[in-house]
Amino acid sequence: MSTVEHRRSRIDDLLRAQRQIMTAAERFSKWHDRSHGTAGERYEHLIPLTRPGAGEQFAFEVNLDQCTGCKACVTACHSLNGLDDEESWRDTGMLTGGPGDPWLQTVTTACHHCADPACANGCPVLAYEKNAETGIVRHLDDQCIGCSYCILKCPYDVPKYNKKRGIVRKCDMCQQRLSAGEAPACVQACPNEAIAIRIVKTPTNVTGGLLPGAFPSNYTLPTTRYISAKPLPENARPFAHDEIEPEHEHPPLAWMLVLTQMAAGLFFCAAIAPSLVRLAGPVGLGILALGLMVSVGHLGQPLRAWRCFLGWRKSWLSREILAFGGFFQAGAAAVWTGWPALYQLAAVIGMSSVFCSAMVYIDTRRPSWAARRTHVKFFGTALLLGSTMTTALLAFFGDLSAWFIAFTAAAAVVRTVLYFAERRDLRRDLADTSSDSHRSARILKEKLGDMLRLRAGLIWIATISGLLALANLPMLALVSFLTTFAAQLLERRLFFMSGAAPRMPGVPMPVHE
Amino acid sequence: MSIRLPSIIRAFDGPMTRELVLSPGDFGLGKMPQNAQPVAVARSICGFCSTGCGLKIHLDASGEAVSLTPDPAYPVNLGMACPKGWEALTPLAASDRATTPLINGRPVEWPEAMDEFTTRFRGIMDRHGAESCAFLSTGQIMSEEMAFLGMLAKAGMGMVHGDANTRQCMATSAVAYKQSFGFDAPPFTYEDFEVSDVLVFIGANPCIAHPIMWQRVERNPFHPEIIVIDPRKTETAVAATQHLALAPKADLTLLYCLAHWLIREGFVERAFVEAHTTGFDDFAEFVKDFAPEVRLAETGVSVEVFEKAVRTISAGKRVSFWWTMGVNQSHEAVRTAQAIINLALMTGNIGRPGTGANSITGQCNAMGSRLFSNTTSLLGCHDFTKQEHRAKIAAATGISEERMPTVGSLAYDQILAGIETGQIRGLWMIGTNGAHSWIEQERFRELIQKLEFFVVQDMYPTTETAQMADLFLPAAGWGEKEGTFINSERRIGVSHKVCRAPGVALADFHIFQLIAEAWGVRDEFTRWSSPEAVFQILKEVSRGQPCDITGIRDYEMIEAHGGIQWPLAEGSEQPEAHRRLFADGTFFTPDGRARFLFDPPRPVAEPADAEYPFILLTGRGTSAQWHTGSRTSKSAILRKLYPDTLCADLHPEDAGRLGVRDGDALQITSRRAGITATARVAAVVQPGQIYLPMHGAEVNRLTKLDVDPHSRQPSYKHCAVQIRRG
Repeated sequence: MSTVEHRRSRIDDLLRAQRQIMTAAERFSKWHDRSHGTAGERYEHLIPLTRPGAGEQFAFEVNLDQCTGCKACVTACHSLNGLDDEESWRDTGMLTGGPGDPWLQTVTTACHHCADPACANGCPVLAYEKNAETGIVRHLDDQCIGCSYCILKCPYDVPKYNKKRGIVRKCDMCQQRLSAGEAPACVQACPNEAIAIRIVKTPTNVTGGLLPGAFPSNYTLPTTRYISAKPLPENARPFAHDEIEPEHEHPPLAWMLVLTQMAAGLFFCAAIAPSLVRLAGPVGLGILALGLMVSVGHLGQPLRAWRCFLGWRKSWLSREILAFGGFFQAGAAAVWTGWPALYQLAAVIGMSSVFCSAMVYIDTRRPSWAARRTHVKFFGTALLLGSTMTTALLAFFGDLSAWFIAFTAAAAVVRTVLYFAERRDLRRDLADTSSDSHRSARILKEKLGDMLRLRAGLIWIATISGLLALANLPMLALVSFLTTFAAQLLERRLFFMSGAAPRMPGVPMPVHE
Repeated sequence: MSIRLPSIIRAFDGPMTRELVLSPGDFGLGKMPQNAQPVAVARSICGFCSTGCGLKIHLDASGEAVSLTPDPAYPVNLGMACPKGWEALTPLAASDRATTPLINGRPVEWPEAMDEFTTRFRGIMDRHGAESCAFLSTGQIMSEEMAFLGMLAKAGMGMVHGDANTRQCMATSAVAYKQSFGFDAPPFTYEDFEVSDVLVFIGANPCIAHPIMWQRVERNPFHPEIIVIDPRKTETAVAATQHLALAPKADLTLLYCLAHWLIREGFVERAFVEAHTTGFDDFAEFVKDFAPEVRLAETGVSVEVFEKAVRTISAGKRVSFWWTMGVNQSHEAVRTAQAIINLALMTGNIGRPGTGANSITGQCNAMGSRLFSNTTSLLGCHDFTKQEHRAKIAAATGISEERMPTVGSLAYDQILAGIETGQIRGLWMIGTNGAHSWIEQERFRELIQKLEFFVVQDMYPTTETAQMADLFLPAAGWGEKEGTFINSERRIGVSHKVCRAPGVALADFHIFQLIAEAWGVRDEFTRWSSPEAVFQILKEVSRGQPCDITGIRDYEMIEAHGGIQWPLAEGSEQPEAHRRLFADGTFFTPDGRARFLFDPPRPVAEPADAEYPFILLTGRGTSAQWHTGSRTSKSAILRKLYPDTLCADLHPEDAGRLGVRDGDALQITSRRAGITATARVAAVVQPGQIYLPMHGAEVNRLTKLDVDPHSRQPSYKHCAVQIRRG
């Protein structure tokens, strides 16, 4: 054999050997010993040996003194539950204290299996089930429509959207393991036994938060207990607390809100000015249809969306969807028949659905989505876009009558009031560092300044062109409408991006998809 | 909801729900996901750090790994693993794995790669002599592979110089032990963590760097006092009962102050010192200059804090001292490590359970490298210059005695300096990412560019270093090959092949076999046929040495015992699970006595000044990161556990002065380079200091090359920088 051939065959041998993988494992390393190391043994003192009684439930207990920051719990949750590549239902954050007497504390956090779970209360399809005996808040993966509203509702950022499946998934306290007497993955994996499952009294009213920087517990009544032999330092705060990052922009939601609010505004205009119905009715109905299509399209599992009425007792999202359904039916009937009474009915239901939309966000309790601001924004958008669109329609297809002047004036007033109200709020929040909305204001000012300035420019163009349109210049009415629409779309984008979400202290924001 | 709605309305079950159904696992695993139920289980030792955790690798029907869990029966980790261990299989499946050899980035087949390797290296060595080519290896490959590499390069190819990234991590401990104890012999066993009544950690953050060792501290039932000596308020410092937040690089002075106080107050264990050590009187004389009242001011530690700590140490019955990179990576590292050893010796805290001067190692097989890399010492810690040693190794390895190297190698920094002077012209880098990890990176990169021929052997062609290679050799990784690692407590463990390497990547062992053949020295390595065959050679190599492992029969015996600590000489009794050295007070020096070694502290190379007023500290970021991240960054779940940008920790006072808040961009500039990082304001560092995790590729552009004169380990923990809001 020549050297080259020899070498080639040698390489082939080695490559063959490289592909053989059973050698060592087969010879002596395969492990059939089932006698020791069952997942229960070491953890007997870390899980309850009895079932919860009346008024009790299972809860996580985290001993902060034992948690030294290895984060094995996160990877164990991922591995032992067979989750996707980047998926884990446990996160870690960090608290710090100082400058005097510096201090550092890792915070491991998963679902708090709340007594009054905001995720379940917000779910339009009842895809959450709080177990009556154990108190475990379980997510029903096959029920979930992927609307992600629970993500907005949970003040601890627990439910995680799973893009591959189009649904949300979350921690179920490894209930399958617990029911077999085994410890949950995170409990098993903690080298220092910092995590345990305990039976606790189901909380009914509480004050304060789970930890410094955590959302007030009276919202959802979380059951996790963070314990420590030493009191936490007075000045404890989330690590890197001052770092700000814009939240997800949710483009489909922004479009859906602006379009449906515009439709409500149009029907409102049509209802008060019956001479407009021929124009505003069909256009409003078309815009509403577009908005609803966008809203269904953003769902991860749109085919399951027909169940959305199930949650109407508690979920503003369910109510919003029902209201939109009523709005569309009334609107369609109005357009079909042309009866003014039906237009008035559609306008009322339309405005009710705007109210529901606002409540969807108000109910998340994010400070920058507080009731007054959100109602002003949403109803303001309805009136503003309804009136500017009406003027544009009148300019081209109607006549420059008194209605045209009236709606132009209304648009100018609403636009100006909205703009200056927002500016005033932003200034106040920036100045007041103790304000709940300070963080959102910082996001707007420091991270989204370009968008704010662009919006201001659009508002000015819209206002000036709207007024100039009175001089019999229909094109300017159109310009005013389009710039107003763009300004409100931008406003809604800013609404989402600056809506600082509460999270457990020091837990980084998940990477946006 | 009391009435259950029908499932058509409310789906409690369905395909998505069933995806997460767990079913009872065999092999003592408890419930496991249905889609990852193992058909068989193999055992392996983790290939990241020196803790050496046992992992149960879950295999499918084809024998390939599907997942893993930590092994509850292994005496090291007791069923626990850190995030890296849990994710050990994930980096193997990374999309950027090397699948073929590359010449200047062009895929080639192995024969062409081998021709290139031999022709180019041989050409350089023919023109410029044997000393013109060198290798730089790693603590991440198996002992058998290290030995093969060391013998192949030196006895086979005739190279003179070779070193490894262990120079960056453990060289100091190796030299300190060798000088003080007569052999590089970390004396402890992990059980010592559990039985000490006082634990002193110097420059070590085991909560983050060795969390599974820290588990043992948490299991200590004696409510021990834990003293942490570290400039930073680390997780370990928070978990400790006492923290001495000393000034950076004031450790040697502080340790001498401790010795001074203990001698002055009469806490020296005279009987032990007299029976088992030499040099104590000189040392006692020397530390007379280190009265705490006078010298403590230099260290930044207050008298009260110092006194509390030293009284704790003096009152301790079983005091153990532990150090890691904060000590090892210093300009006077060896003497600092020996100052710790001196404390243990003079208080008699050695050889008994819960005591010791204990260096916690870094890499999974740094300890294997210290015995078997054939770089600073001849295989098995023998002496290159002694004929009888060369003859012994020749006989043990089957390699001709005249091929045995007769001189030691240059150290990592000297090999690089040799490139500058033209002495070194060809370099072969194996399993390490020097272009990221070596200190003073700009210079490293300039020097690599000067090489005539640069070969990189790695799992990934995408590392900063591999991208500079003329020839790239695709290596199989941990889990795709077999061999043994030696952990921090001298425990030898076996790692198995449980995955197929991608493409034509080969185990380093097989690459060395190919090279031996291509170089024409195959006949010298006929006995080097498999890792297990080489293990038998290494046993022979160790015969009669302090690290004698002739009593270990084979891999199977190692596995059956849950790993075996060295030494285990032929004829020994069955080894116990936990063994420590020096129980009889006899050390490995010719006279059996340990040495007190010391030198006056020296100033750092680059103190902070008006122009560069901050001291830059570098080190581990999180437990989810390993070295340059070539593996850990491939796991999405590990990436979740550390910041996605390079973050710099800054004290609130400094931040206030500079007008910096969390999240602001910082420009950090040293005399060598400038980089950008994201500020995190916290009092975890002291005013005037800034901390950067070493995992950021740009961090070592800032650091300054300065090495310990004995160990030649670089000082990563100190250089001067300026900071601006960027």
